[in-house]
Amino acid sequence: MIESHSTEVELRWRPSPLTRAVITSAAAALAVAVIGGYWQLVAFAAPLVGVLVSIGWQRTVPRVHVHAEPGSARCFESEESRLDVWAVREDTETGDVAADLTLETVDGMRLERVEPASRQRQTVAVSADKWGRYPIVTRVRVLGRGGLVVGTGVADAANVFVFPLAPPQSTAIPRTELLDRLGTHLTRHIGPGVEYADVRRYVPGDQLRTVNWPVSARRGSLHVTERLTDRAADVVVLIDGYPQPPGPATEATDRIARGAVQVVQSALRSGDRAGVVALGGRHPRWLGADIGRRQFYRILDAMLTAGDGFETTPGTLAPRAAVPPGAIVIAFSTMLDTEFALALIDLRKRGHTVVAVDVLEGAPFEEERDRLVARMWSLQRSFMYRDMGTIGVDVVSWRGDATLDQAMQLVPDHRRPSRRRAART
Amino acid sequence: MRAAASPVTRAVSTAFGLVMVASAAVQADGPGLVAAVVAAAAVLAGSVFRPAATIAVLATVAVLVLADAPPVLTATSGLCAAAYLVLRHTAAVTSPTVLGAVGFTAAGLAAASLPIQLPWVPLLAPLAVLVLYVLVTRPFWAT
Repeated sequence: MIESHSTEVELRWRPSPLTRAVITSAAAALAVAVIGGYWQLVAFAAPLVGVLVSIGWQRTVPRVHVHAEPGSARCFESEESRLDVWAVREDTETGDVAADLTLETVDGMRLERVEPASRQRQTVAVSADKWGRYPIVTRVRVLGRGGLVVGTGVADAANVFVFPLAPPQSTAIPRTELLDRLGTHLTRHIGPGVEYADVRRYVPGDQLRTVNWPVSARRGSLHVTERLTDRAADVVVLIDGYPQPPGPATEATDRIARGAVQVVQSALRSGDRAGVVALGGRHPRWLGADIGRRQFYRILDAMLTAGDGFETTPGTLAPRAAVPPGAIVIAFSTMLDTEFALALIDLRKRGHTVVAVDVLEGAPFEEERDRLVARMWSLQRSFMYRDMGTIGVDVVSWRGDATLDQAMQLVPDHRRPSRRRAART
Repeated sequence: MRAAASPVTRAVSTAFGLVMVASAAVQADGPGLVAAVVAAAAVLAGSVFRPAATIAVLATVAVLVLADAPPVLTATSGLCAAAYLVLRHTAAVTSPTVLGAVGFTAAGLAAASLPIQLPWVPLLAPLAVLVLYVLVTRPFWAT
């Protein structure tokens, strides 16, 4: 269903060019009449004054609504999206001119007019090369009160949400204890599956179909084949939405969204549940973990604050409802904000596997500094990586020249699962 | 507005403008005719370039002054000037506009053709015109 969006334009009314022309003419005629004593010019000015006076008897100024269909368009980067925008006056009299529309948009978005049917209804094709939320700004100009006043107003007719495109490579999830749910990640747990694990003696209760007949014949007693099971994971992406300092940190923010989309895309593709939490501004936006293609678009909506499919909770930490127990948290951040780091430590304390991807490249200073400063900065960062690693939050650096899946190969393997398996057997 | 520039409206407005100049220049001779030619040229230019319409009306005032036209011709010219300006700027002519223009023409014609010559009129006229001007333009200040 394509929903249309309607906005009332706040109009500012001022005298129209007609009024100014009439006033000028009447004033000139009256001035000549008074100064030069040409009294018949009063008769010339009288109709002009009559036109001006008629403002008191004209209809009241109209109200103008701007409609857009669809009210909010969603597309991916460099995709083209079409919008219909038209204006409606509330008191359209017959023969009266309707509102005059001019469509604009912000920098970074291309706007092309498609076959302008009329000046009141326009169809535009928009596309942008960079993700973000782009408003379609409508300038409305409308004459009121018999053309004596002109109203101008600006309104956002529609929003175009441009989603980031992510590279198709799958990102590896960190090795951890996965949930007891069927999925696609091979684990060392015994259970239903296809990969061979072991052969053991039959105990009552084993399914007969798992009996390994060649081994049983050779050994003289029943043996069954055990298999490794595939399990699913819950992946929650944490996005750093805190204000970033200008310069390299702001540029790095662009990759936060791309990385998050790539992780969500590869998680959903492998059948895992994925969710998103966008921290920042003391009102985290979040979307609970779920599976499927629909969830991908819901996550994109939540990332760009499109629609109302997500939830907000006050606070600076990730809400408990957003991160299911045992979920893997992958955070994208410039690691410059303390509150974000505290949120990561809090998640780690709750028992989640937390991986932070540092998207900042080099020192976040705009101008060239002494090389010593850069050196001190990199030392400081490596201390921070070590400190976070001690707490249990693994930080990997993602530089612009590498892809995310390469960077995420560097997540340290803590070998916790294998130790537990050794203790069990 | 661009929407007002339909060919028919434009032609009608230009016709009104030419009638305005013609009725002003009925009794013109010499410099008055020159001013009339200027005004007619401005009317023709105004059909393309809108601000020229105001210049045409101002030139018509000059024609009226130079030709010393009688009140009836002046009133006709003024009515045509109002119609010319309104049609040139907007396609929608509402009934209050027409009533206002016609009603005030009648009132102005009556005032200008009064035969009485009072000695204090030239003294009071500038003040009256100023008050009239303020009262008329008052609705536009707030907007």
